[in-house]
Amino acid sequence: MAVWTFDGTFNGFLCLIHESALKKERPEGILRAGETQPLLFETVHTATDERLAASVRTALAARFSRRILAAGYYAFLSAMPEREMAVYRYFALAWTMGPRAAGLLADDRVRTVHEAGRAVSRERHRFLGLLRFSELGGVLYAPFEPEGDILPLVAGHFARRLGGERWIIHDTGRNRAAVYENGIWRVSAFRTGGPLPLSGREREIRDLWKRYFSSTAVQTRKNAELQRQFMPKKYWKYLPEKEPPAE
Amino acid sequence: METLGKLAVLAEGAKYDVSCSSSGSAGRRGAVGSTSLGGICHSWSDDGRCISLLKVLFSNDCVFDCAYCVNRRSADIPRATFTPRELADLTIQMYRRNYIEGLFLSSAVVGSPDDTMVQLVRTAKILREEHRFGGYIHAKAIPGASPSLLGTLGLLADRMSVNIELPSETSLRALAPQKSRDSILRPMAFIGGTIEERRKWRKSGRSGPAFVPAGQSTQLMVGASPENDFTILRLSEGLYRSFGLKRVYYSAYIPVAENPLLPAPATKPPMLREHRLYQADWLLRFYGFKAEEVLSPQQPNLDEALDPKTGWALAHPDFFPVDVNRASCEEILRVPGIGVRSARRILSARRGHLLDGDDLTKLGVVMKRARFFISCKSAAFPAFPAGGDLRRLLASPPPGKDNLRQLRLEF
Repeated sequence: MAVWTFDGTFNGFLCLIHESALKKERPEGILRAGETQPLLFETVHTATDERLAASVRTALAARFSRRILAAGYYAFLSAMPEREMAVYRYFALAWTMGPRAAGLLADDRVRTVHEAGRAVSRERHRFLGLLRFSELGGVLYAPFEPEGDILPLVAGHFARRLGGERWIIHDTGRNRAAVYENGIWRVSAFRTGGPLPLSGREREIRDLWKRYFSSTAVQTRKNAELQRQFMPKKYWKYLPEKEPPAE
Repeated sequence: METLGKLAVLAEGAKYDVSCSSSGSAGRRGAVGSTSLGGICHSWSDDGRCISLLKVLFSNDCVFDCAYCVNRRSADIPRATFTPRELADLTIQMYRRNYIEGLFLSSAVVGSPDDTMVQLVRTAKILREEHRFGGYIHAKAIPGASPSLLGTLGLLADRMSVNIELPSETSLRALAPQKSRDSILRPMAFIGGTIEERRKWRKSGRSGPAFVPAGQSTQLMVGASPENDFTILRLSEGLYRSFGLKRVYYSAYIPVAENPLLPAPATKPPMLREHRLYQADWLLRFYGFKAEEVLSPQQPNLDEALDPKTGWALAHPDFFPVDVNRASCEEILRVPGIGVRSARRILSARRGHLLDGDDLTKLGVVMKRARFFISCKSAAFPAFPAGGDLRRLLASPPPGKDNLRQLRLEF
């Protein structure tokens, strides 16, 4: 019995699964390298091999469908505690049951992963709308603070949409960013030294948006509760339209 | 006037149009921008409505004098007009920052309907051809516009709409003397016909640009004129059938003018009525109901205390209980508390085993309402004919605040 560790990437996780199948051993717990290690357990580290990961991915999809693989991937990106073990158990079940496993909504191993995955997918959809870019010296920069690790899930959308631009989508909570240039995006470590100053032109466009935002509301139908239901306060931090008025 | 001032005036003039959806158009992609089939909401304004498109008028300087409209010629309000380039550039700048999903391009009638259409076409052309904009454009067809201009605009837009606003010709004559039934329905028929023609054309393997790929919509005002719900619902049914409309929007009339023919300015907009009409509209589009089943000349208005599906169920005790393990999809869809998604799940889940009450809850059925109308494996539900008590049990509580919760309408 041991706690297994990996580098925190989904590919690393797939390699860990491969290792476990090879040794016919189940991990007692799965941790990301760098997380606090429990003292009483022996730890085993699995190295990440991208090529191996790709073939594990193919094998899993062939055995139990791409749908289950995707559900597991989304849950892996969630903020659920012990998500790695949850996805591990889900994949293990699907490995024996095949594609039918996705239908077992009453089984906790399935339900937990599907719910976590759905939350990630909901948050992704929300941010496709709520992400806000500012133009800073020829680059569009969008900070956000998602609960799930959704950077890789939103980047593709903006690569299609803003294909001719250079942009940075910055997960300020995880200090990582997707950086897009010349048709390719990459996720890497990223930090800024505090809030970035806006140009006069940028301020102007922001003001236009804020003016539009207030003018388009029908005052006789005011409904703050409904507004918060769709756009909870936790998302307001980087929304210009919810910026407190300037002094 | 500067852009900022114009924007305030022209957003103000457009906000009573409730349509804001950016859905139905997949796979358009340009140098800047793309569309997403399900649509994307970008913000929610203080009234709780979603903001998806930059919804403004090109101009509010109207030659028409429709009594119900904020922009009518006789109204004493600031007037403004964008230039096509100004509005196109504004759209691009907001789009690049991900504030919006595209442009809702509408206008008051400036000069003549065709003069106005020319400006709208110019704006859309700058966006599509100069900026190679691939985002969503919802364009308004101006009543009375000529087919050739409608044809040009339809090739640039994702969705088009002509607003009927007043649900009968009598009201139209009284309140919008410069519009006529014909000037509204002709553009609608043209757009509907061209969409159909194009679809066939493309199906037969020939290529060519799509015409209004996300379809056509319209808006009806509720409470400005005396038409009852039955008239409104039958009109919607006809529009869905004959013009293939994607959506009919209903807008609770907010009084903007002192006029003996209209509700007094202090009158509260009939929000609950609007909500019930949307529910009834859903029954037409997704549940296989006909307008005559929901309402009749004897009962021409929707019951404000009950959602229309529950109302129908209470009036048809013989239809129930519906056996969820045997009934057809159409029958199951008639059960209050079972939506389209739950019905589909029931059909797939019952292939495995006979369903009981717990299974139904897990599948997402709202048992609070459904339990009076179904039978299933455990079947331990109260028998249906509980008469007046049941009605009381199923009635919505009287709204505590006048800002009733609004249906989510993007689609």
